[in-house]
Amino acid sequence: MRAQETDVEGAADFDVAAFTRSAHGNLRDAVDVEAIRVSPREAQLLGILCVLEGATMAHLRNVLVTATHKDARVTAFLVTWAFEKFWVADALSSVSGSGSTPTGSLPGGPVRRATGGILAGRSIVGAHMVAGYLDDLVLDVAYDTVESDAAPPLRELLAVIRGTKSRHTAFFLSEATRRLASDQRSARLAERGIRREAWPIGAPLLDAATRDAFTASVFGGDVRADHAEHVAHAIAVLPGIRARTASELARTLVKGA
Amino acid sequence: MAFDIDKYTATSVAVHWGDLDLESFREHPLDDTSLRTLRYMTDVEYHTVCYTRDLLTTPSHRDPDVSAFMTMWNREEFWHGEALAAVLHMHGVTVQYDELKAKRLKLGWKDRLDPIKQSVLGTLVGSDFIATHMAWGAANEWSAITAYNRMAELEENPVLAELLRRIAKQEARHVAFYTSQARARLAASTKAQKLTRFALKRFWAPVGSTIMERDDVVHVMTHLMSGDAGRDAARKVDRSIASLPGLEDLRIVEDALDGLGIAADGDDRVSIR
Repeated sequence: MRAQETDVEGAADFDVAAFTRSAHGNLRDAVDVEAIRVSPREAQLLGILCVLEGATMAHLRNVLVTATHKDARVTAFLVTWAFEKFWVADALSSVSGSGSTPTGSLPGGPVRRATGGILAGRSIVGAHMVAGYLDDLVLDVAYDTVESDAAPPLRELLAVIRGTKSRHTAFFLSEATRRLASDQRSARLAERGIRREAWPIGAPLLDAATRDAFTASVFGGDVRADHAEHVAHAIAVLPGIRARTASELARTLVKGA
Repeated sequence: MAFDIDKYTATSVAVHWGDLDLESFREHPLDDTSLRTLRYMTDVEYHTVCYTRDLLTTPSHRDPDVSAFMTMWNREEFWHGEALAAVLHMHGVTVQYDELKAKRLKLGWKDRLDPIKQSVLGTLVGSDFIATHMAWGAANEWSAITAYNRMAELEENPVLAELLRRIAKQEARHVAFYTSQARARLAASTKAQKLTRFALKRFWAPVGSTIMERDDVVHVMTHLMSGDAGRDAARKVDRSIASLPGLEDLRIVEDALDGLGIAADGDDRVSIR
């Protein structure tokens, strides 16, 4: 499939066709996952990341009932994104010893999301791109946290995972930027999502104690609170996102979803 | 036998065609009738994500096996679209994101309300609704395999036949998943059997009917499923569907062909050439 869409201002600079052609499958082909040994603390955070990365179908359940499913370029990306994240979650499941990737439902559900989607129209696509970008930013901080004390074999796996995810982040950033720049309504919807949703996207699949553990590990303490500011800053520079919304986001990340 | 989801995910790949001599189509191009059918198939494969949307409105996504299957299945179907688009490309037809998007946008209010309808039904019916979706998926996949096999037979083009054979082989694994799910869920619930029987008998239509124009559906069904051989293939799909618990004697494919006015006897493709 070729060519980019023409109803959004600004050129799409991410090559979706190239992305789909070069998808990363089973990470066990690149890294000897079974040989990696981790500490109990690392295992806990990696197990949480497994749940968060594995939340693709739960997320798509809310996303595809809106106008986002009509955008063939975006769905081509999402199909491959879900495939790559499946294998990221698989590797994390193996390393953390958490067993099969847990699944569940995210808040909202198809009726509420579809109804909201009808009212939002095509502007919802930009908001979904911001959600994907923000999810990646938060998870990236979590990977930073794990990597800080990781032994070389685990570092090798994390490098492969982050390399895979970097293309997702690039797509979401590119799409969020051009869609928000050309559609104020999209920016308003994105802001509402930032304020109302739990971050990262899969957080509601975790129980309260596990969510607290994730927040404490990733955003706890003075140094780690800077990580929340870093995420908020990256969101604040998106077109149409107000500083107040970004500040609220930073506070929410530190406080926990 | 239960479907081995781990084996399926570990061996799921994008269909490959790099070793096939697609350049040969420049010397031996497909005719317009076949290209129109191929374009229909391409669009339907790309639109699989729309069916995923409906499937996700049921509680099925909470099942790790279903979730894993949907991830791989979606990607495989996307690549079927890419493979068929590569053949079209050799004939000067380029499939663009914008065109597919335009087709989805044209569906209008029905498409917007469908997930709400599906979700409400799913809530009212409960988990038995998953059985209906699984049986529906099996019917669609059986139909797809039949369509690819018929196209390969009719064209007698070795390059196209090999590509379609590879696609049909992947579709066969999808059938295995859907039938294993449908069989188990239908066997466990009389209510699921009644609901599924009613839904298939009343609402099932050839794959692509909800997205493509009626003229295109009639064209493809006439091309692939008309005449004695086409009708025999349809009966075979019906027999497969009827082998699922509680779906005995269903003949949804034949009924659909009759409804579209597709000739049930005579030589293949007589009415379209």
